[in-house]
Amino acid sequence: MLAFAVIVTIVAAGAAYLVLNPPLSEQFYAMYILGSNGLAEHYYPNDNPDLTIGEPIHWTIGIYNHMGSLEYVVVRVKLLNSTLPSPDELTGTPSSVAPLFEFARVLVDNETWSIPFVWRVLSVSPSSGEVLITGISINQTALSGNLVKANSGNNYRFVFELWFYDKATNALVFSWRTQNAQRSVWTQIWFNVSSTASK
Amino acid sequence: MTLNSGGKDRVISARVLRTSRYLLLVILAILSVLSIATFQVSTQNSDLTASSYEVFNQLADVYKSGGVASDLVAKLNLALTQIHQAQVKRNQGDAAGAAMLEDQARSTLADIQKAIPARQQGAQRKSTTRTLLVMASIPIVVILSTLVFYAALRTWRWYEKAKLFEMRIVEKKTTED
Repeated sequence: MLAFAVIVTIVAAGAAYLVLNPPLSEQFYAMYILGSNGLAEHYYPNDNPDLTIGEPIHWTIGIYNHMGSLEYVVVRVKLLNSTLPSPDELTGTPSSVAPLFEFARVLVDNETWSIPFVWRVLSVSPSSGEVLITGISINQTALSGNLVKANSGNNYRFVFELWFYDKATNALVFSWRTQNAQRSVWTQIWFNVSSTASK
Repeated sequence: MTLNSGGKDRVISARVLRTSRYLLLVILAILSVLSIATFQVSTQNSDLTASSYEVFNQLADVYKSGGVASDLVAKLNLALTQIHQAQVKRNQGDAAGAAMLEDQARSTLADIQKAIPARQQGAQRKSTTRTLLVMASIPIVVILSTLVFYAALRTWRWYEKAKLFEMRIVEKKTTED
């Protein structure tokens, strides 16, 4: 009888410990971009990545929090060409290009955040075989300046980097360590721009 | 005449020097005001961002203690949107609109900060109650399961005894026959 009571005590204590300290599942963030119909397709009008000035592009950026806690996340949107440095997953280094636009939000565990991302090229300046984007509109916010240039207007890309608040450094960070590996989340999407206006 | 004209020249050059000094002072004053204004813009924004981090830390503590404050998270998200919109307005040159949004964000963050201590206490109370319930359930589970085991054992023994008794009666009957 005593042996039975001892075994039951051990089993009940183990179960109580598991209830009070549930084991952590794998911690990760996920980011994705969806096209105009909310699926991973039709990213450009008529599926043609050669965009004209003023042509509106409708995307949805999705962020999923599976870190097991409340998270403060920021999506940094960067406009690059093919030669500007991309973020590096191995070292957890973000692209050195300054962000063009930011979205910030606090996400509870297991929450998915969908960000409508509607953009259009407002103006370009062609010169000696290169096309310089001088104006772009993101979610009805016009941004101007010498944004980025590319040969013949080909191979521009939007890079979306996921940053999050780190309590230890009291700042936003781009990467984290889990299971002895450096992790970071970013994605990109390519397009070309012709210097003619849309009809 | 030469002396006179030289004196006039000296007076004119002194006036020019004085005027240029004033001009320089005015330019310096304008530049310093501009730099202060720019500094204030960046400080205001970084102040708001720092406040949002602080509020987030406190909310994260509430969630870590097992509490839920989805209304406060929604309010913090509203403040973040206001900070972002203020930044956009300021970049577009609408300083008044930006300042108004920044004030709104500041008051939203202050509202959250006011509500957090009560939520933290509530979350801690909930967490303590949960721990106590789980801990108290251990002896209850042990006592109940031991009692059930004891009762089952006793029933089994009684059943065995009854079976043996029945066998003895049958044995006796067969010997009598």
